[in-house]
Amino acid sequence: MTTPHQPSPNTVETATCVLAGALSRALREDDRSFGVRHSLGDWGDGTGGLAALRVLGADVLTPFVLTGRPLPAEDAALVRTAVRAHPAPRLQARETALWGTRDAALVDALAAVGVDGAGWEGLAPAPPPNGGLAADWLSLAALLVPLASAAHPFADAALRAQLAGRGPDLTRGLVRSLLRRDLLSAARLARWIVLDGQSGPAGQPSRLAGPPLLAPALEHLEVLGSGDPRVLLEVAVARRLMAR
Amino acid sequence: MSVENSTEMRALIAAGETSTSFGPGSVRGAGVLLLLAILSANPRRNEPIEDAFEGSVQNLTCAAAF
Repeated sequence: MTTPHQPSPNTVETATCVLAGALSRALREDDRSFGVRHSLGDWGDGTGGLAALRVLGADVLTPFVLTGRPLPAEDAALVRTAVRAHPAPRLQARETALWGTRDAALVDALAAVGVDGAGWEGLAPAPPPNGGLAADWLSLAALLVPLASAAHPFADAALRAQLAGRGPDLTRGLVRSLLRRDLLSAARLARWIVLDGQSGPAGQPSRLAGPPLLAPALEHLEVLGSGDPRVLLEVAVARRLMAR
Repeated sequence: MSVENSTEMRALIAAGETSTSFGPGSVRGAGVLLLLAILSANPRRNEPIEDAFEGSVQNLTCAAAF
């Protein structure tokens, strides 16, 4: 078993792992009570905890969006505080586009739980419509890995439509990441594959459960990634998406 | 907001695929491959290499794969 990276204590990455662990447990266990602020513990009042909220983006809301738990008002306020404390950068076009897609997913997830987040201070502007995703599978996988928090049922319809028919390319990316032992990337691509499998040719829901590789890949990731809460979070989200 | 937190947060958000591979072709896997090459140079007659040395080669291969 490989443990390629362990976060240093008292860093944003540590806070991110703490929160990701709580999120994945909440996704696996329906009856577990869950609150974002409570899960962050001592991190919740510091900038490290708020930064962790920004790192996980819309995934912070998955226990509410995917399980039907009501979003506590204090957690909605905490997300807004995090967005304001860590506004989106606007200097580099590539980074702005990445943040724009992630923040659009956050606004969509907030809307799904009854919170109007549009216009919140600190959010990145919506990304401009592009001319299409990368044609080759390697570039496509590299593009989608950091966008995994946008892979949820309320993902941008245009993006999902562009992904239609790219299942084999996503699967190639998943296999490559597994072979490289890049577990986080593999888990994120598995999540996109689940989402792609739930869309028909015209973006309509279908009953496809993904390629035959998907289920054993998720089990593989759960075992090998048991020491990385971020991997477990991606797998937990993928499983929740499959169950929908 | 500290600069360190902001920088680390932006790096975590922008992080894509890891630049380090731990796969069979990586430096980490090179030791196992070297051992396999050494062992495969002296298989017993009429014995599949996977079964040589009481299955140790097969065990090593499985260990490398998983």
